[in-house]
Amino acid sequence: MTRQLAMVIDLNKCIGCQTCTLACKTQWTDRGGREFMYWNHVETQPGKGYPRGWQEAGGGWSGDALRPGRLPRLAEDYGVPSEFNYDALFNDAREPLRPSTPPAWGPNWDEDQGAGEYPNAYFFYLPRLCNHCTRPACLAACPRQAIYKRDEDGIVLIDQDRCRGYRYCVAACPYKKVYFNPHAGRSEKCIFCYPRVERGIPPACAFQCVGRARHVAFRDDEQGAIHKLVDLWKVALPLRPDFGTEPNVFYVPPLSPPSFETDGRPSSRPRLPDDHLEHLFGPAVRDALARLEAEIARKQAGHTSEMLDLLIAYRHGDMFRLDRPKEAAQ
Amino acid sequence: MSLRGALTLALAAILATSAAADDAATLRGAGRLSDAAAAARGVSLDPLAPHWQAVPAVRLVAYPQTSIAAAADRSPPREVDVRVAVAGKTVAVRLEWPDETADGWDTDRTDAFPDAAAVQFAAQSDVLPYIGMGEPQQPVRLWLWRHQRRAEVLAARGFGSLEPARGSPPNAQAVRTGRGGWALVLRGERPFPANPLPMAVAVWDGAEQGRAGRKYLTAWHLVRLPGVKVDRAWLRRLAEEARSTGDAARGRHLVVDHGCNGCHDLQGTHTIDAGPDLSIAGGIHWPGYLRRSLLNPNAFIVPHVGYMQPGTDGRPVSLMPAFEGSSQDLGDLVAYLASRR
Repeated sequence: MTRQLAMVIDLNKCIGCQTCTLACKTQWTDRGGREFMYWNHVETQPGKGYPRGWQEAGGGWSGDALRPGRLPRLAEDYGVPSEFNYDALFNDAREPLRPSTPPAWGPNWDEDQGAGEYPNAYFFYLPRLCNHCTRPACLAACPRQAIYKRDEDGIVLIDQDRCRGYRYCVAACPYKKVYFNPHAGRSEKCIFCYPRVERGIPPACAFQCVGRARHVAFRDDEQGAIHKLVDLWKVALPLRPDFGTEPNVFYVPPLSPPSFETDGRPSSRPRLPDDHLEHLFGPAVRDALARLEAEIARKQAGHTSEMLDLLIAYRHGDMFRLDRPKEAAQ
Repeated sequence: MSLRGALTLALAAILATSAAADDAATLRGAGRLSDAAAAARGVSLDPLAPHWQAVPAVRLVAYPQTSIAAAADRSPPREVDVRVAVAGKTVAVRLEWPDETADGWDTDRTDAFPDAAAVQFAAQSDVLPYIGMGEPQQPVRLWLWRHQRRAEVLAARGFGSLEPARGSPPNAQAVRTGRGGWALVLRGERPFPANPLPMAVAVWDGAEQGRAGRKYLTAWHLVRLPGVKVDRAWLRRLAEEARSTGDAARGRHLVVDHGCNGCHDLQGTHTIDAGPDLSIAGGIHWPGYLRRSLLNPNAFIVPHVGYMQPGTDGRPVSLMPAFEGSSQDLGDLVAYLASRR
């Protein structure tokens, strides 16, 4: 029986600062052909995201069958990391500082664009990483059994000795969170910071989050935030559950201010359209938002709310419960 | 030794020699055996070196791999001209095949695949291994070339088992031919002592996102190496594996009578996939393999989850029942399947 380490990200607390992105990048992907990869990134929704158009790139499950998926392109869909002509600063003042090759896309290319028209424009931030799925399509797609899911914490890893760079996993992941390293000739992905996790230290993205938006705990730990938010209170939901991979990263969906009527008065409709949230988080998002709003009302009325206290995260250390099961600690 | 004893031995030797010659002739006639050239002064890695023109080529047909995950839009087969030259323990294989575009290893792309080719070798054993990467009990050895990557020597014991093999990798040199294709020489240590040496070829087209099973493969082909003793018993067994004397026209009806077409695609229509696609069975399999599969489906099960189920002892069991019927029916079925290509 696989024990599952999981994450909840509270989208109401994410300010899109990309501290998680940088924490991950400096730790894992700033070298060796990984420069274009963002194992963790924050994209703006609605938006094409990263890689560009990942939601329409296929992959995942259709019942028991893998859905076909396509491979993102380095320059067009991920974006090539820019080098700058720093020499120009010291040589010719008329030459502006600029990227040596014009960039075409990047991990936050359409940041803050969102959708809608003023005054009803809207967007929110969506941090994304490998979901360490319970039914990983990447694992199923590999013809070499190079991908495995660890029993002790459910972390999904690519065995770099077995991988031969066929990229069926890249196509199969509907979140496009497996990346092909064209220098190494192998595919790579978020490792949920397992070398940290094994020492009881949370993944870098979660630990560095300045908004205290990320909780990490074992799913079966009834005192942990994941069990409470996902299974008990049902206010945290997987991203695109229709992909069928059963993610283990969950999101507290974003609340929304009211939209404005043409005369400027607030309406009863939320600024973030329900159907967009439902597209991302499934039909359960409506109940989750209702529960969240009810709990906020309770707290505002002066009552106590264990849910909100947990989401507020008064103490940083309370957000992480990484105690290893005894047998895995041996 | 008595005179009579000596005569008997001599006669036996002559008979054996002539039987071996018959077996070789049979295999050669069936297009399943050819001769490597002896290259006393070494073998050039340059595919355009003049001496390669003096080496006779055998044309093998490489069929798109359809035993697992058949592509809906099946490509036509590709012809590969194969030349083999031997110098001592060094074997050099020259391949030439059509491929309209040169697709290299591109570090600026995540969606590109290089053109590639591999030569697969088998050791001497009771039967030829399954053509697709060998079998658990019958490993194969491979030389793999990918455009703009170092050539590799690999070993496999079935699908998904490919791993680096011990020994030095082959040298490789490839050039574009004027006819829009590749000419490639792979040169390395003779991988197995068998003579004749079974080899098969696979090519991948990067433009078709070729990699792993998305490839074109030939059937086993035997290459007789000069200056190395031919094992007659081995030659005998190979001739037996190549034998197919049945009536293919009759076999065509038998596949319906026996219900084979309920699970196997025999026409290339992609409407049936409960068992491996057999519409090119004759192109990639020898009659002996087809016979073995019919009589004992569990001797080797094409490793696809849909083709097997767990047996009572936990080991996988083929979904296909063993053939039951007359030996004539068996022969006719094999003849029909061997004609599918």
